[in-house]
Amino acid sequence: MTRLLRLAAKLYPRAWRVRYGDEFDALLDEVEPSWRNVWDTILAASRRRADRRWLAIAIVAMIAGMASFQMPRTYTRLVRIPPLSADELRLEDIQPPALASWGGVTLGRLDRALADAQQAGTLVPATLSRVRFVVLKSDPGTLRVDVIGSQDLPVGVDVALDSLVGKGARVAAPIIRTRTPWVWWMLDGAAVAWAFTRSRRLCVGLGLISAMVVVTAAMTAAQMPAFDAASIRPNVSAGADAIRGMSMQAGGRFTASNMTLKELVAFAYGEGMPMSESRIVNEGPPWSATDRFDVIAKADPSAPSSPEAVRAMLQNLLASRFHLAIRRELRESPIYALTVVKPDGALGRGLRPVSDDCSGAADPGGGRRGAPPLGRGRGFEETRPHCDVRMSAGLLTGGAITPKDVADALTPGVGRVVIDRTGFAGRFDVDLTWTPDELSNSPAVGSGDDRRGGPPPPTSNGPTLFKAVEEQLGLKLEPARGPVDVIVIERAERPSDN
Amino acid sequence: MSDPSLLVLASLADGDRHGYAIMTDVEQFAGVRLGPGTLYGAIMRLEERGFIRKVASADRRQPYRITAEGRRYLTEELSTLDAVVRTGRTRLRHA
Repeated sequence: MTRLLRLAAKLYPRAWRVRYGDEFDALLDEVEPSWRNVWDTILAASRRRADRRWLAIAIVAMIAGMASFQMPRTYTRLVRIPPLSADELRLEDIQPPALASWGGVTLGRLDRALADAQQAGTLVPATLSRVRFVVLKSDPGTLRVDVIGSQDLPVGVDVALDSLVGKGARVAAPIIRTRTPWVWWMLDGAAVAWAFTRSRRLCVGLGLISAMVVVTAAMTAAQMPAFDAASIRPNVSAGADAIRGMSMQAGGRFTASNMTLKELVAFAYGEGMPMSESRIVNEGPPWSATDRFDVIAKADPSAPSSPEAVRAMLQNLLASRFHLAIRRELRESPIYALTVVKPDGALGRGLRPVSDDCSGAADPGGGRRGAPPLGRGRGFEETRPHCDVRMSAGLLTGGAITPKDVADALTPGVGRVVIDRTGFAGRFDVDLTWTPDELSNSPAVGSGDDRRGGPPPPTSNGPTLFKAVEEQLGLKLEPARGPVDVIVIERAERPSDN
Repeated sequence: MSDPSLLVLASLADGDRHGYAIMTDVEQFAGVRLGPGTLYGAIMRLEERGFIRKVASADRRQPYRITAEGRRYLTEELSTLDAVVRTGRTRLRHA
C-alpha cells in the first residue's frame, strides 16, 4: 500500500513535484498507508494535472467541435484540365491575366458561364461559395479548379465545368469532398477559452470573429433552396407495371409517382436529364432500389423555379426527409466509347459538320439552353435547337453540338456512360431516330415540353439505338472501361412523416 | 466546518506545523481526517494567496507559518462562522 501511495504521488505534475515533492514524501512516510489516502492522493494529483483553466479550454473546444457537425459541409470538386497544346502557352508563364486564355480552354468562360447561369436562375448562388484556380506546383502541366460550395454538390457548377472542359480537356482526377473541418472549430473554441483566461478584451475579439463565422455559415445554410411544401408517401398499392414517372412543372412544382429513392437521386443529381442508373451506386439500405414513393412538392412562388433550382430543392428534400447521405467519386466502370465506324472518318447523313462555333449563343459552353419552342408537326430543321441538344423517346436532335454532347445525350438511352472518342473537334447538326427498347417500362421523365412537338416519333419497327447510331451518324458504341463519375448512396432512412 | 483551507489556517494559528502535524491536529480539534492530497491542495492554495509561508527547517518535513494576512483572513472567516453559529443556536432555542 505504501508503494501504491508513492506511485500515486508520482502522478503530480513535475512543477508541483519540484515544489512540494520532498515534503510530501516525508508526509507519506508518516501517514497511514490506506486506500483512502491513496485515492485522495490520486484525486488531488489529477486535479493538479487537469487545471481548471485547461479543463475549461478542453470543454469549450469539445463543444465547438460538436457544433461543427451541425454546420453545412464544404464540397470541393477537383478538376484537372491538361493543356491541349504545350506550345500554346507555357504554364509557368501563367499570371492572373493570362488565365483568361490557356491551353485552348478559356477560363474566363467559366466565370461568364457561372455569371450567366446565375442570371438565368440555373445556378443557385447559395450553393456556391467560390471557384479557385490553382496551377499545381508539383505538376505544372495541370490546372486545378476547386469549386467550393456550401452544399454537397453545388447546383449548376457541374454544367458550368462541362462548358470549361468542352474543348477536349477532361476531368482527370477524383472528385473530393472535404469533411467538416471540426479540428479548426475545436482550435477556435480552445483559442476563445484560452483568451478568456488571459484577457477579456482578446476573448471578446476572438468570440466576435467566431460568432460572425458561425452566423454567416448558419445564414448560408438557411438560404439553401427548399420546397415550400412537400409530401412524400410510400406507394404500396401500385404494382410493378403501374404508371411511373417524374416531372417538373411551371412554378417550381415537382411530382413523382411510384419512384424509388435511387431514381429520385438520379433525377435530383442529373444535369439536364436524370443520371443513368449505372451511375448510382447503392451502398445504403437495399430498399433504396426497391421501395417506391409518391412525391408532390411545390416551391414558394417567389423562389427561383428553374429546373436547376428545383433539383437543388429536391436534393435538400431527400437529405432532410430520407436523411440521405451521398458522395461522388470516379470509378473504373463499363462504358461505351463513341467511335467512328469507317477508317476514313466518313460521317452518316444524320451527322453534319457546321461552322457555327456558338460564340453568339447565350450559353457559349453548349449548355442546354437556346432551344426554340416546339410545335406539333414541325420537322427537324424547324425544331432544331441552337447550340443545344434535345432528346425524347426515340429522337435526338442537336444543333451545332460537339461529339461530347452527343455522347452525353446517348448515355441515358444505353444504360452506361458514353465517352466521346471520335477525335472530332468541331460542331455538328445531329438527327437520330430509333425505336426505344423499353419505352413502355421506363419512367417518364421530363419538363413536359420535350414531348409536345417536333418530328413524329419513330415507328415500332425502326432500328435500335445502337444500330441507328451506326447507320445514321456513322459512329458506333463500343463496350469499354473507363472512369465514371458516380454517386454513391451512403446512408438513407425511410422518410419521416409529412 | 470542513473547508480544508480554513482547517489548516486554524491549525497554524497557534504555531508552526508541518504536514503530518497539521493532519493530526485537525483530526483532534475538528474530527476531520484530511487526506495527504487534500492537505497539500489546501497548503498550496494558502501559500499562493500569501496566507501561509514556509519556515526554514533542517528536516525533510516542511513546517508552515501563518502570515499576518492569513490571520486577518482567518479572523474574518471565523467571525462570519461565529455569527452563523450564534444565529443558528438562537433560532433553535426559539423554535
